[in-house]
Amino acid sequence: MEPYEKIYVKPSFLKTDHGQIACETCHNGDPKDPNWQTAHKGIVRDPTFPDANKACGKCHKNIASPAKNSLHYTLAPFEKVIKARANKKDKGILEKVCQAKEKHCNACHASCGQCHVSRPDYIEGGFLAGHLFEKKPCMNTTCGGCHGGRVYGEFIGANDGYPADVHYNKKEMTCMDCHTGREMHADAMDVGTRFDLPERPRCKKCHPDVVSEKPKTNSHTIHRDKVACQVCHAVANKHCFNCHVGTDKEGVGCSKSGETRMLFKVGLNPNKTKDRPYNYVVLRHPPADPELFDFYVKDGLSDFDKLPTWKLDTPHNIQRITPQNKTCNNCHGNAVLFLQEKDVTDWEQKANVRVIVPEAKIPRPIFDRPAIRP
Amino acid sequence: MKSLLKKKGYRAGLIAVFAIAAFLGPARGYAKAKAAQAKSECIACHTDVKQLIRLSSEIEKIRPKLGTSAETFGEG
Repeated sequence: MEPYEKIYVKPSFLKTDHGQIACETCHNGDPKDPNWQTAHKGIVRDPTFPDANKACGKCHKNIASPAKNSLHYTLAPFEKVIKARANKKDKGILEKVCQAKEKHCNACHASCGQCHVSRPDYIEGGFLAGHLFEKKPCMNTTCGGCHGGRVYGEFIGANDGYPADVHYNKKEMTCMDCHTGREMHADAMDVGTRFDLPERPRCKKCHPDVVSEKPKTNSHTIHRDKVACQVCHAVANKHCFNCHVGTDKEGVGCSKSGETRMLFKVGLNPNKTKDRPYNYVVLRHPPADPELFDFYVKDGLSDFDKLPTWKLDTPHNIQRITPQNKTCNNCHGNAVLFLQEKDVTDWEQKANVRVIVPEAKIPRPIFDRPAIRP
Repeated sequence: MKSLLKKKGYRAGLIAVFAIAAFLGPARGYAKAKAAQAKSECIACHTDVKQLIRLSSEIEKIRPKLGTSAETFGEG
């Protein structure tokens, strides 16, 4: 995007309701000063962050009030995960971990403005459409701008050799068809992870038969409540194995992450709930590393093995037919699909004890039954 | 009969006054906003592509770089 495009205001914006509000009401600055340098003194680039209510709450209180506590605003689960793993015995170390988290991890937040008016800060901003407010922003710019590394790439089939999600490919669905405004704007201060958000998408909303008492297919009857939908219907997802953050010679934050690998690993469900009663779920290794903050402080994440490094995942590359659901024995007895001790590095064994599938829990091959239709 | 017509006339007059006020009120507000917009240097500059192209190159020189560090590598 050219620099001028990022700040060009379309004249049509001035005819909209938001265009009737004087610029300085939200952005400060001096509208009478013809010198751009002095006119921009005290300018507020994004008036919707950190307080969504300040600019939006007057007219959109019902949305802005919970949105300021939403996952995109607060990234609250990051804080919970990092604090769980941080060295809590030494307050000085903990403080440095929190500062590093603030500088690197919290830089990824998004605000009302960064979804509905401009591109996210993570990709250096710029108006989506000449300052026009987009109720449903364009998913490849807005969602893909931040989630392009993994989940968006999976969804649109950007990973060589792996198909796009059937919802995207065949039904032309967008991110927002499942991830509604209700979910995006929901207060998430009390949730542990995004998977616990009551407003999250659910397959059963569009596929009620699958989880009904009497599903139409044998495989759904047999596996209902035993395996997560993605165990049968997702393909390989992208795994990262380490990340180190720091500051370069010019004082700009930088990160260094190692190789990424496309893998498909099924693990035990470490946290069974009424909504997620499954024995097996799909896992992903995020860029978690005990030396993540070593540039700032040594031994910052001394409780690293408090949480699994192979985490629950919901890959966004859903297919009706997948390599593992073609026949019963593509999964049953196929140990490679399951996360085993040998797949986990020595220092991660303790952290992942609840998700590693012991040999006895790998489903036995089925010899007396013909292949059933998935 | 005459007084009834008089009453009706008053009522019609009142309705007309309210209708005109209701129509002109927002229109005046809109005109006010338009007038403020016309005087705003923010709008004059941010809707002028030529000006923005010229200024943005100046701004790029002095603006602190928000971008990613050259030392960053790997997928985010």
